[in-house]
Amino acid sequence: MNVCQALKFKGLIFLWLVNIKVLVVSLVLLYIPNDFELILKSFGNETLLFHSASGDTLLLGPTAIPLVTRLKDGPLEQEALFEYVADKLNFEVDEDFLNHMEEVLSGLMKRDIVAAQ
Amino acid sequence: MTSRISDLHLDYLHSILQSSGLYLKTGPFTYRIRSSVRSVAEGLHLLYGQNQFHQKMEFVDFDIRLDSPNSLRRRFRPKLDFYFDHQTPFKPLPLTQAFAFLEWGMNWCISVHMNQYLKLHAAVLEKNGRALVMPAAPGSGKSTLCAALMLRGWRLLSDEHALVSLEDNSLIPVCRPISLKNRSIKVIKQFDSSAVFGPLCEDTHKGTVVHMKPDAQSAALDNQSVKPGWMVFPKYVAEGDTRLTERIKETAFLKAGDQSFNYSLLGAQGFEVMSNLIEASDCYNFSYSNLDEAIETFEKLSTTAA
Repeated sequence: MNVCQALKFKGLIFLWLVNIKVLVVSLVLLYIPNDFELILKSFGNETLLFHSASGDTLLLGPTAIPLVTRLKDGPLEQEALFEYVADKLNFEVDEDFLNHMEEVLSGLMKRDIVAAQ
Repeated sequence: MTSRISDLHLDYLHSILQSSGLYLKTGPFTYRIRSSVRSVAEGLHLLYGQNQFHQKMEFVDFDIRLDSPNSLRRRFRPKLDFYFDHQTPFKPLPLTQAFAFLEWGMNWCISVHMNQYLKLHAAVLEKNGRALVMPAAPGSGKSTLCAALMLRGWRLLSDEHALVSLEDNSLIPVCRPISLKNRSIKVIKQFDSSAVFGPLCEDTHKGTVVHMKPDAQSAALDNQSVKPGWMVFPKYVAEGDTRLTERIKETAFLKAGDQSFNYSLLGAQGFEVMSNLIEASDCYNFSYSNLDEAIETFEKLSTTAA
C-alpha cells in the first residue's frame, strides 16, 4: 500500500468512526432513574433541584432546567433532547451549543441524576 | 406551687445538682443536669433563674453531668468531663471553663439529636409576630447582633439553633443564654450596661467566652412558636458601612442549607420544609460594624412583614 492509498484508507476509517459516533449518540436513550426522587423548585429567579439519592441540592443553570424537566416526563434520545432544549430556549443547534449541552449532560450523569442506556 | 430557679438558695441548688440533679426545661427540651462544680450552680442560678424549677420530671431528653474524672489527674490538673447518657463525647476541659463547657454540651445535645425539627445554626428573634432567622458561620457577628437586638426589645428565641417545625414551618423557641466571645463581650457591655453576664471563661478554644442572660419577656414566652418573617445573613465588617441588600431566595436556600445540622438527613422532607421557610421569609444579606445603625435598620425591617 503506497502513501496515497494509506491516507485514503485512514480517511475512510475516520469517516466511518464519525458516522458510528453520530449513530451511537442519536441512539443513546437518556432517562431519569425512577428509584429516587427528584424535586424542582423555583422562587421566581433560578431553579433548585433536590436529589434524594444523594441528599444534595443543586442550583440548575438555564439549559439544565428544560433538560431535566423534559426527562422527568420520560426517556428521550440525546439528539432529540438537545433539539428540544434548543427549541425551548430559542438557541441554534450549532457546535458551541452541542458542546455546552454535552458538558451539562455529563455533569448531570456524574451526579447520577440522568442515566443512559 | 412551682417556683423559679432564682428563688432557690444557691447552696440548695448546688446540693440538688450534686445529688438527684436539676430538671431544666428550655423550649421543648428537658435536661437533667448534675454537677458538683460550684460555678455551674452559680451560672445556672444567674442565667436560668427565670426558668421553672423542677426537682423531678417524668421524661428527660438529655441526661448530662459535668464532673471531674475519678482519677489521680484531678488532683494535679483539675479537669472536667461532660457526660451524656454516661458517655463522654468530648475531651476533658479545665475546671475554669465549667459553665462554658456545660453550655457547649447542651448545644451539642440539640445539634446531634432531635431530628424532628429542621435545625439551622442560626440566631432567631421575633418582632411584631414574625421571626427573624439569622443563619451564620462562627465569627460572622451573629451573636453580637442577636444580643444587641434582644437588648433593644426583640424577643429572643435562640442564639444558636433555629428549630423549624416539620408540621407548620414555625420557629420553635429554645431560649437560652447568648454566647459572646472576645471583643464582642466589651462591645455589648458598652452597648447596654444592664446586660447580665454569667461566669467569664478565659483561654478556651474559642478565646474568652461569656454567656448573657435572656430578658424576662423572652424567657416567659419560651413555649410560643413564631411564623417566619425574614431570613438575614449577617456579616460583621470592621469599620464597614451598614448595608441591607435583598438576596434571591434560591441562593438563600443553599446558604441556609449549608448552615443546617440535619437538612440532608431529613431528605425530601428537609427540602420541603426549607422551601416553605424560604418562601415565607424575605431574604437579605446584612453587613455592619455599628450596632446602633444595625438596630435602626432592623427596626425598619420589622415593619415590613413578609
